[in-house]
Amino acid sequence: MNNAQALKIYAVLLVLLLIEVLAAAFSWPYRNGLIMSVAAGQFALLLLFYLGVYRHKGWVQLFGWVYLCWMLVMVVFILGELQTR
Amino acid sequence: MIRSDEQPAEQFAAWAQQREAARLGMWLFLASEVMMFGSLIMVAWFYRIEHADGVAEAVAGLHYGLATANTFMLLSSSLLMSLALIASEQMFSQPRPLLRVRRCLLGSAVLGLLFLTCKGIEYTLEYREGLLPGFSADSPLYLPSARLFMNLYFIATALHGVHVLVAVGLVLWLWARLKHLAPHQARTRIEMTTLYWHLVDAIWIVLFATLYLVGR
Repeated sequence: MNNAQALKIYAVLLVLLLIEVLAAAFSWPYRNGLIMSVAAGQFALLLLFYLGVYRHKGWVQLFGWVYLCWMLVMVVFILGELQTR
Repeated sequence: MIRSDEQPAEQFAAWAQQREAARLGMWLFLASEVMMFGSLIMVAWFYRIEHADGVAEAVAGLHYGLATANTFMLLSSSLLMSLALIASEQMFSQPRPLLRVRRCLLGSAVLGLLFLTCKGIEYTLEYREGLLPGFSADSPLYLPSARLFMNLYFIATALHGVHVLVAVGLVLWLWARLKHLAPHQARTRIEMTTLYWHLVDAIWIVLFATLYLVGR
């Protein structure tokens, strides 16, 4: 990653922050889903580009996927619990 | 002045091997951190599902403006850490990237300290409003589930604050010691510290949305 790419990622992260704050402040429709999707997007951007999962191989990539899968496991668990109640 | 005659630790044949080992160790540590904070976030979501009214009452009292400023500061500090890492990778090809690395590290540390200051202001406001658990017998929160959510909010954000404090300490130590480290050593330590900093930032992003924004 070079300086220009780091700045681009930063700009996208700020735009996503603005979207989630506006969604919460002005009660946009489906705002809760939108806010969590935006947060997941920010998390993925940090993981892929700043933490560098995209450019590493082997163990680093494996643990990067473990992170993502752990988030997925949590989502499936919560939604599964809700649906089967 | 940077010393260039440093050798890797004796159990390693080359710097690349030592860096790979450090990287693996750091990612294992970060995975354990994700598991811990992931569990707290999952509990928060269970509260939200089980006690939607109480959580809505608690969330309405949180200072999300300060939390938004904190998110902005952490994102900016992550950018500075990335720039420090990029500059540190040029240590061998350019004559004096050290000054730039140190400036970026100092900027990150200052933003981290500002984050902690903002968090302190937030806790002070919540203390005065009687929202913090254990500090007010006559909490304005009516529902017990709202107070339960505030307990979780306090544990999660305080634990995260401790992580930010550790990250700031690491960065300040690097900033002070950078001149005395060999380039390979400096690169490895900057990379490990950067990984930790980014993870602390990533955890805050999810905490911010989960605790402050959803259901507002």
